[in-house]
Amino acid sequence: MTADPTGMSRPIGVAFLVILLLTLVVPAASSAAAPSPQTGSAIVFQRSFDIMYWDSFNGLRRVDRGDEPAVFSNGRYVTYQRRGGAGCGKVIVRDMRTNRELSLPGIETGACVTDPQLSGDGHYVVFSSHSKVAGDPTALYLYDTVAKRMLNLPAPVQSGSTEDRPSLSDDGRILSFVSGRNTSPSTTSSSPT
Amino acid sequence: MSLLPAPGLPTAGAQSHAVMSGNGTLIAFETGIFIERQVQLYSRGQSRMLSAPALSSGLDSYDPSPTPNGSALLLTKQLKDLGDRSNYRFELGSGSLVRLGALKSTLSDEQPSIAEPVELVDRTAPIVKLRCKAAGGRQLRCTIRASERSTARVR
Repeated sequence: MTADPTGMSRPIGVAFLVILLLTLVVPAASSAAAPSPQTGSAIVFQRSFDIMYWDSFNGLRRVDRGDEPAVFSNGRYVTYQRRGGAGCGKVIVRDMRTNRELSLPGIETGACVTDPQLSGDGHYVVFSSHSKVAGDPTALYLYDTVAKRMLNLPAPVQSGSTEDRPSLSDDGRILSFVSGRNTSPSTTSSSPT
Repeated sequence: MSLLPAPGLPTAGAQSHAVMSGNGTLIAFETGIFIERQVQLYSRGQSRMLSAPALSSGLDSYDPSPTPNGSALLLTKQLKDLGDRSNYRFELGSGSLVRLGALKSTLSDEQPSIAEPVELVDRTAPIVKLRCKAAGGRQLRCTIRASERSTARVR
C-alpha cells in the first residue's frame, strides 16, 4: 500500500495513520457490540488455587479462587466450590458470558460441600456434603437451579455409607457416584421432581 | 428412582473420582493410591471395562473428565517429579494422548473439565498494527497486520 503525500512527508504521514486507524477500528468496535457465536471447545481447570477457563476463541482467563471446577455441556456455566473463612466449600455456579454468579438461594446444607457438578442442561447441580443423618458420613444433594430449591435424593442413592463424586448426565436422568456400600456396582436412574 | 446394573464394572479395590460423560455412555474413575493413581474407563454401552494403556504412563494419572459425547477424556498426569502436573486429552478411538498445549504453564494444572462442541462468542478485540516506511520520493510503504481475519475499508 502506498500513499502520495503532496506536502511535507512527516505531517502528512501522521494524518494518514490516524485516518487509517479510525477506519479499521470502527468495524472492529461494531462487531464487538454484536458478536456472532461460533463453535469451539471450552475447558475449565484448576491452576494452583485458581479456577481457570479457556475457550478456543478467547483463550485463557482466571475465573475465581476455588476448587473442583466443572463446566456445563454448553460451555456457558461453570460450577466449583469456593472455600470460606472456615475452610468450608460453598457451591458456586457462574455464567461465563456475563461473568456473574447465579443466585442459588437455599443451597446451603449447613456443612462443607464438595464435588459440585452440573447436569448438561444446567437444570441441576449435584454435590456431596456431610449427611444430616446420624452415623451417615456423607450424602449427595441435588439442587434445582430453575426452581431455586433443594430436591430430595432418598434411598437407593443414600445408603448410610459414604456417597460422593456425583455426576449427572446431560438430561439429568442418570446419576453416577461413588459409594462405600457393599453391593454390586451400579448407577442410578433418576427423574428429579 | 432405581439403581441401574453396571455389569463388568469391578468391585475389588477402592475406586474414586468417578465422572460420567454427558450422554451417560462412559464412566471414568481413579484406582490406586496417591502418586500411583490410574484412570480406568467403563463403557455403559458395552458393559465392560475399556483398555487404555496410554493412561497408565507416567507416575500418576487422575482427575478424569469425559467429553459430553464420551469419545474423549481429559485427565491430569504427573509424568516425572512433583509439580510437573499437566492436563492431557485422551482419544478413545485412536488411543492418542496429548498434552493440552494451549493450557501449558510452569504451574500445576489439575481437575480439567471440558464442554464441546459449544457455541462461543468471540470477545477478544482484534489487534491491528500499521507500520509505514518511506519508500523514496513522496511515497510511503505501509503494512497492516491483524491478529485475526477481518474485513476493513482503507481510505
